[in-house]
Amino acid sequence: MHMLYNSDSFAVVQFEVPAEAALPATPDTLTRGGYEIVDKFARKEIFIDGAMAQSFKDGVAALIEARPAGPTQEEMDDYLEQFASLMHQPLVMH
Amino acid sequence: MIEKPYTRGAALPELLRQRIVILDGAMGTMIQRYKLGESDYRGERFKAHAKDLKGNNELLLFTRADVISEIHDQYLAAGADIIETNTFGATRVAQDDYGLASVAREMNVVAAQLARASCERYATPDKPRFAAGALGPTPRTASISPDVNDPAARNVSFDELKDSYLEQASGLLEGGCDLFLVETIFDTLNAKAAIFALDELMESTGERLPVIISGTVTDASGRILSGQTVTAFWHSVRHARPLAVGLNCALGATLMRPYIEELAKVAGDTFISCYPNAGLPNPMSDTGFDETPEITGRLVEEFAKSGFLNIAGGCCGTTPAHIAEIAQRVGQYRPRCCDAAGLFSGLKAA
Repeated sequence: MHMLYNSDSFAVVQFEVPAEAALPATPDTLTRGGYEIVDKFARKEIFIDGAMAQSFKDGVAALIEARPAGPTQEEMDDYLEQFASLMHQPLVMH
Repeated sequence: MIEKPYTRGAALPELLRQRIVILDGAMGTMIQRYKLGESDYRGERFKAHAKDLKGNNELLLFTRADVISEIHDQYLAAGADIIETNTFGATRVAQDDYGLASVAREMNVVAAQLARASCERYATPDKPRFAAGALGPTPRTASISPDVNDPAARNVSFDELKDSYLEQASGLLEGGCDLFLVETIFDTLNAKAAIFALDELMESTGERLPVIISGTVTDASGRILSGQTVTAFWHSVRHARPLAVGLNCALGATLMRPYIEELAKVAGDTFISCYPNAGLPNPMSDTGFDETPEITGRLVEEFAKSGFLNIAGGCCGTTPAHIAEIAQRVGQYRPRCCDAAGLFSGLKAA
């Protein structure tokens, strides 16, 4: 479990499942874990895995590729904001 | 059982029997294109408000009404028969996050007035246009604990939700909406609060407007977040006798297909609506989502060709270009057949 990103608006945590516990790979799913994206203001989150996690990873890779110094916080937040419509799981920030 | 005729939007049922009706696309995606800043959201009226307001899209109804009207007009020009009011988050419960619960009702009045004014500009005798009062899910859920350490915890009650929806619907009705759209439902109990509020409003005012109910499936299990399959969801809301039931938002049309097919099979006594996202978020895309108008248009066309649809449109990531493409493509297919006899038609046969 790694905190990949943490801004005032969003946090992204990566969950990794040990290889021996992972399910067999299929063409459209990742073999391990996924990502939890938290919208801090709306107090909602979503856990994505499989093809959707791969799509998220591809999006981040594209942002990094577009800007060698790495995406700005604004660019990352703009990208994560697109997932807001999918976030419905409520959460309490302790 | 004799039902009172619709007092608004009365032309919709017949229109739905004749052809697939087109709903508009995303409001949020279009607002993002204007690249508005904090000062646009605040305007003069909320200049001194204590909390950040950027992102409160419903506030633009007061401070940049020109933007909202322009977006409505673009969707109508693209061929939308129904446009949604910009009221997804215009409930007291949702606006409370911004410290603006007190203006929630006013937002709904203004939103319906703007949408109706756009409809008036584009309506012709051959192509009437309708303003749907949109009721979103609110950021709080009646069925799900927000605290992993306390499964019984809730941050809103059914009655609070019902009162909040009643206030919203009352504003929309006053502003002139033609129908109600309870959308992006991920918690059926929230939807039931909205339906209860609509029933209460219509009973007290003597009005009867068509209601569309639209759920959202956001994971591969095919269930809405509160745990129901789409079939169970339909049976939970069919007592409301909606004009249509359907699915919206979620993971895009490709992943929505089995669920819209299931709903089209089980909800035989009502019309079916479908307005998916333009795929998944993509930071390299102009709209922030994967699919071009051609891709979304082709996917929704396949639903129409399969006989699943009565109402088609778009959700997050869709634009007027997507809606024009969907309208052009689904226009060549007949709408799905619906048993207009109603909920208890089976009993009549017996």
